[in-house]
Amino acid sequence: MRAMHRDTVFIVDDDASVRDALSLLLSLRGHATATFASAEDFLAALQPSWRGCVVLDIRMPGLSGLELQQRLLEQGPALPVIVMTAHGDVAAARQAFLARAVDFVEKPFDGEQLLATIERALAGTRAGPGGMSQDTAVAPDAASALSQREREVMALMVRGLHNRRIAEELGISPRTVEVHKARVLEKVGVKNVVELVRLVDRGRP
Amino acid sequence: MWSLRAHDPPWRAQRGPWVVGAAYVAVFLALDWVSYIRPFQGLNITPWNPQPALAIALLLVNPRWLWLVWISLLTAELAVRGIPSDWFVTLAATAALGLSYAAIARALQSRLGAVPVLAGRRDLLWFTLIAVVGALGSGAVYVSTFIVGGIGPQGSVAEAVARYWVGDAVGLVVLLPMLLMLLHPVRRASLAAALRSPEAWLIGAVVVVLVAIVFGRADRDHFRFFYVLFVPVVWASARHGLAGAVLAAGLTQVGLIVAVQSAPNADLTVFELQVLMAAVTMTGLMLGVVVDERERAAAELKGSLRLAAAGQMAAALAHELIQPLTALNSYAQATRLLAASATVPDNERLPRLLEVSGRMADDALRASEVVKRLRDFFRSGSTQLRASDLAPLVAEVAAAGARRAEALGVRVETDLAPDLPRVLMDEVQIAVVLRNLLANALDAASAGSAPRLVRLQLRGRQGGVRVDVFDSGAGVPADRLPTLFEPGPSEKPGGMGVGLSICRAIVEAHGGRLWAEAGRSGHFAFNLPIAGMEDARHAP
Repeated sequence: MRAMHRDTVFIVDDDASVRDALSLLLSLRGHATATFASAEDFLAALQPSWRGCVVLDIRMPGLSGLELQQRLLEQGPALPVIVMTAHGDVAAARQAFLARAVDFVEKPFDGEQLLATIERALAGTRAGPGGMSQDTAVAPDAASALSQREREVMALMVRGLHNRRIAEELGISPRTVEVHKARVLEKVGVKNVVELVRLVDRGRP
Repeated sequence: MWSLRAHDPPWRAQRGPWVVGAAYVAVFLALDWVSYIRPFQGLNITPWNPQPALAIALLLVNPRWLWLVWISLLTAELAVRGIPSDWFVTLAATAALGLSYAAIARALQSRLGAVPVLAGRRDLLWFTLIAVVGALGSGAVYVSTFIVGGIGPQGSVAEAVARYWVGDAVGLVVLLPMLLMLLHPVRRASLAAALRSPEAWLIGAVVVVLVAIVFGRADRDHFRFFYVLFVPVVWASARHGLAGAVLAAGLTQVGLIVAVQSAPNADLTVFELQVLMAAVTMTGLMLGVVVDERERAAAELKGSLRLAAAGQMAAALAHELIQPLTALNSYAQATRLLAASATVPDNERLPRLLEVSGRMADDALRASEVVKRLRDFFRSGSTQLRASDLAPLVAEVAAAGARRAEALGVRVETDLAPDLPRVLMDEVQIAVVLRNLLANALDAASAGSAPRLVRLQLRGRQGGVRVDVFDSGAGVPADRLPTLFEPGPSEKPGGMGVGLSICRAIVEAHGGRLWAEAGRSGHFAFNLPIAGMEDARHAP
């Protein structure tokens, strides 16, 4: 069990039950938590002295999670952000990564996995800005195992394009895209496109 | 939706096979007798030969009835053309014809399926090819049997075969599509539907009048105005698809034969007229098949729109289900930690566990609530559009919401215009929409200031009927409009967040539109198209 520390996990989610449950779980693991029902509430309360990390939901009425993440980035040295979504939306995952999210969790999530991610994020803040990538990018051997076409398909997959669009873009049939996609996931060793995004985009600056 | 490619032959005879067989022979004889006009050198080579189509249809139903086909051919020879001069040749010729009909039936089944239906242009192409080649084949077989028997036609053999070919081919092309339709229950229904429409009878009358005009003139040049006969056939095909085409072409053929037979002059070139008749029929069939294809495509599009609505709803519901499930999962993990935690004093452990399990129960209920709503929506099954009145439905929904309105201190008014046209709708689904809009309006009004009021208004509006739901609540700000209908988080405590997106999906699946008007009080509206003849016919 971790020792108590001064860092706080800021939970921003419009769903009261999710806020409550997450905050309970984290506090039992020794984290200080603060909850906010909307991005606006969080921004209104935000203090420069705050330390810790933000766990936020993408879909919220008013300001969305991604917009909140953008605002935090604009305000200077930001709190690390972990994005939650109930949608498994590849485009949102990618956007979150490009806005330097520490990680992206799909609801409903495995509590242990989220806790590990939060601890990594907190460790990252203590280590100073920018220190968030530990296991960088796709393993080089996996990436080199991909054929040229598979790499092209992967590049479009992580942009969140659907099979039909990828097929149009590359001038191949949607069925072929499907085959390439399956092979990419298998070779890289991930279960779905969101995980692939996590691997590919984390390697970027 | 039509299922044209049935897996089981749908034409399984319900009556005894003997009744079918006897009826077949009787009709075959009648057709042969009626069509035995202007025979070529006393042989059964006539410009119009509809009976092969009947024989082929019988062989399509059951190939083992080949013997019956032979019997019918033989009986027809005896009954219509008298005792043959050479028994052996007649027996051989009729047997050869029966076999060539069986070959045509076989070819049709191998190309168009066990239940041949002319479902598309490809089918029609194969059908025509098989009919034309098959007619040529049976003509050649028939004529050559007589030649081998030494009693062949004098003069050109090619002319005899050509005449036989034209008579049979036209007979097949005109009559067989109609028989194929009669054999298929769905197609039979479309034939019956075409016959029920007054327009079909008008077209029939036009055919009769035009045939009378073309052939009733005293001069002999009947070809000069023949082309006007295309008009009613094209008209019928455009309106009723293949059903219209076969009916109009059949009537035109009958009219043409009647006109030719009753014409005072005997030297009409009936064979040439029959070639023109084939052109009329093919034009109608091609157009009819394309019209049918387009209708099917339209129906499929409707189906896929419904699927899109279902997909949108699934996304919305997944979102709503995942929230309580996420909470449940986190609570469950928290209870494990609580039970094992060293930092929680023992006397606090039990009450905290009880509290957390209570919250878990709440979230489980919340998840099941979402599932129930989903079930209620899908209970109605797929969209079953029927022409019905909207006013009683609105009144019913308003009455059902009265108790809740009373509890919330909201007055509900209805303002329903009388004598509105009926709309095409699935009553269960539109009731879902109305209930949802009413519930939203009641919530909004009850949160606002007095007087708390909700008004349901029903009006006829350009080609549709429009429902407006007004409430005295805060209304929707203009900047919220673009995202209002996206499946997403609800702004109401305990709200579903899916209501509006589902409602819009439903209304759009009905060919209508659902929208909100921005303003300082609440206003939602949707419209539904009026049930027209056209749509009623296409509705699945």
